[in-house]
Amino acid sequence: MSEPKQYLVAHLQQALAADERVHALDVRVKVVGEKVLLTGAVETPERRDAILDVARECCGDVEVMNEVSVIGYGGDPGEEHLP
Amino acid sequence: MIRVAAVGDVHVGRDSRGRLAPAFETVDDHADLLLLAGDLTQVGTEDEAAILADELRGVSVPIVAVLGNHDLHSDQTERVVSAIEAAGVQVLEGEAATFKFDGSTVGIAGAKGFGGGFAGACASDFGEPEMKEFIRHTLERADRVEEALDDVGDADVRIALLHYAPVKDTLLGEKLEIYPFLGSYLLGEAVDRAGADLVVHGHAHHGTEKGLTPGGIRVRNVAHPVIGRPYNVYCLGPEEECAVGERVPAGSVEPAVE
Repeated sequence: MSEPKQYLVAHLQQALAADERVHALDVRVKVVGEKVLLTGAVETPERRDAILDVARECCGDVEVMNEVSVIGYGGDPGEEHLP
Repeated sequence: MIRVAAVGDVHVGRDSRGRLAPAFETVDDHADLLLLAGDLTQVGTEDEAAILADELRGVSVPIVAVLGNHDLHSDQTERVVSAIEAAGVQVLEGEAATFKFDGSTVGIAGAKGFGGGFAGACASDFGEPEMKEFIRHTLERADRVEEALDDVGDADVRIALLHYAPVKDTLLGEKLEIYPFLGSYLLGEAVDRAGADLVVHGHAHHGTEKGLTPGGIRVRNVAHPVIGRPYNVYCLGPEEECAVGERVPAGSVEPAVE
């Protein structure tokens, strides 16, 4: 019998936090239909790719969709006046 | 009037070299001071801290930082702090740093903080030793926040720099179930008791930028994923002085307290 997907989500979140390739605590994991969906944001493309590697290893035959984005340091700073 | 640049959760790792420096090099043009709200590194190693230090070397304005939970992961805290301080960064934990800008004093009270949750849904000092240790750590860190703000004294502008959140407002977007791991009302209560003009924190990547303590102090979650920019600049002072182009040059800065 295959692992209930609720446990798969928990195991994958633990793997993403503990695996030294990523240490990603803020990636959201959920099951959508028959797939595992990853969302959130990380600092580098290398980390986004490593997250997919870890997820695929953890999820076995379950398809993983990696929708994690990369936050860059481009653009202007935000400004706010605080009276 | 003072312009404060702030960002948290930059999570510098071995793959970060060269990525932050171009953005940080513009800080001098926009702000008098740069605040870093913890999770400066990905896993808290000396090597990562050294990379961060290199990325910050183009910044001339004072830099003040607190550590976050990621910075403590590898049990190399002293070496991490030393490596960051090598770039001229003041790393605070229950301490204050005060600066004078063109006659006005600005005090930064820095402390990591910790979790525990918020009024009505928070951890209590009861039960297993581990549970009591958890909430007592928060109580101790909240005391440090208050003591640091007391040390700031009568600075014209008083800012609390934390990693963990002092209010729920800036957690909006996070899952309710993890609020107790993201911050504590004890931090907000400490800030309200001591008084401040602004609280800056990070840690809650899925949260919201703006909030308010129950005592009416503005709170800003500057976690990099939240602000989506290299950093945010908060101008504290009269609106006319904060208009673009009216900034006092950063060259006039001098430390008021060692």
